[in-house]
Amino acid sequence: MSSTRTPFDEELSRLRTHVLAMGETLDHMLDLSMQALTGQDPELTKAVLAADDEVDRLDAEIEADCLRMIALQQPVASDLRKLGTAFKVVTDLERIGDYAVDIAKIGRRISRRGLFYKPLVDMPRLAGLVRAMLRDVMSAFVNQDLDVVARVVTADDEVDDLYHRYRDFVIEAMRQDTTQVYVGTFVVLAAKYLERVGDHLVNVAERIHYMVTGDLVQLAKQRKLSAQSEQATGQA
Amino acid sequence: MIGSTLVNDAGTAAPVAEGNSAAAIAKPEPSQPSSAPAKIRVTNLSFFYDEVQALFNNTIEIPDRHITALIGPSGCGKSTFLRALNRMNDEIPGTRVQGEVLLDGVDIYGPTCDKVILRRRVGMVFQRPNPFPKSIYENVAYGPRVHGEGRKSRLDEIVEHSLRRAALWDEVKDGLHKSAFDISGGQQQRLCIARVLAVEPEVLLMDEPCSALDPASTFRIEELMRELQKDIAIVIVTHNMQQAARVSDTTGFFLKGELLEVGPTLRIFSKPDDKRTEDYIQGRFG
Repeated sequence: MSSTRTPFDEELSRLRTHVLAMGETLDHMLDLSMQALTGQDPELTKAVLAADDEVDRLDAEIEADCLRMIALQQPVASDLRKLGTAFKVVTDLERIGDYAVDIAKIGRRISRRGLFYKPLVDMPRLAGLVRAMLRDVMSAFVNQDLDVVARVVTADDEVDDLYHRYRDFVIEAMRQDTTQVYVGTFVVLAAKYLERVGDHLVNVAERIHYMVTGDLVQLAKQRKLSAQSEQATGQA
Repeated sequence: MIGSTLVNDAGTAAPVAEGNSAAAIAKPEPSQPSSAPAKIRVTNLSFFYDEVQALFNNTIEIPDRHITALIGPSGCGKSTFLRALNRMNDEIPGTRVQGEVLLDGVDIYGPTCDKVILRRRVGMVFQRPNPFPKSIYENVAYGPRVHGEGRKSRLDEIVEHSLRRAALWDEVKDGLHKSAFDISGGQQQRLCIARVLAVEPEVLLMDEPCSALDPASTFRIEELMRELQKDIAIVIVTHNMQQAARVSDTTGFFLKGELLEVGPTLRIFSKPDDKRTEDYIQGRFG
């Protein structure tokens, strides 16, 4: 059956392209911010800030497009869910951009002090995990793939575990060498920002689940409850 | 329910359109449970214009004190279905019906049904306002007069009460004896609703009642429907998807004479089961 709403379909397609562009920019920003942090390169911080302007522009454009289409096209059912999802996820994506900027600024701050904090090995690993989540989220958005949505939710557990281990490690290092407290504090903050990026990506994954199924479900919470229940059954 | 008696308000047997036996359709008690019981139950309803079949085995329950919207592309049979609920199609030569339509459990196509009483209980409002070429007062008083009410004071009460229920009283109370054609289209449509309400219907059938009205008049009619729904069942046929979404509790989607999907309006407009329903409400065909 040929569609009678070709212009609207084209607008929806353009909206999807813009969300994807936002995702690609964020992936690039997270990569640059990690290089800025681990490589102590202030020039890269500038590049991250410039990319964040692009993310902010896309955020505003996508939001305006969603509102315009809701007002003028009166979408319902899956069309409305697509628009509602785009409208909602851009807020999470925009926040991820802010975290990338914060991480890059930490790199600049540390480099200005001429300090170098050695134990940064786990930081790129953490960044690698959240960037993989980001790419999965974008793939799930385009392909409406619930298996990939589930993978994102699971991956966030790994991000949380790694963050907690890394945080404890840095705290212990600061306890043993108090001259490292300044740098160590910021490094833990950067790790925390990455962990928060993971949380925002889970939010996006939950919205994609809604877009596909029409059911608003807190997937992360559901997964935790299910794990607790399995654990309780095992202990019994 | 063959063998029961269709009675008029005075409690005497009403004239029956077909057959000789009397059938009782007792008006339900006001104490009837409010959890939206079925007011009309339609089972396997098919309809034919001569040899052309317009409806195919449709089954649906119309709950009491509930708004049911029927949507679907032009020519899909939704208006035919609506008119089958008070036998308006009977006036078209060569038509016939199969299946069952129960009003409070009594078959309206049973041989003993009185169509005059049926149409009082199941009133109808049409696409274009169609007031009689009479005064506003006489339009509303017409039905009660036909049903035997002759007392002036009682008619005055009925006219005021009906116009108030139709949210028109304040606008016309100072000109009740003006011609019904002197008021706006939106007011005329509310006058037609008042005319139906004057005979105390239990079900109101509305066939695209707002399609000839401007947005403000449309919203007034919708607001009115929500008020009336507290007392009666309403079935509305509409091409306006947003209207169906705004105003109804249940939505049924017709396609090619078949009721493809019926469900709570929120579900139909957010996550319909049938892809064809989704394509239609999204404007992708029709």
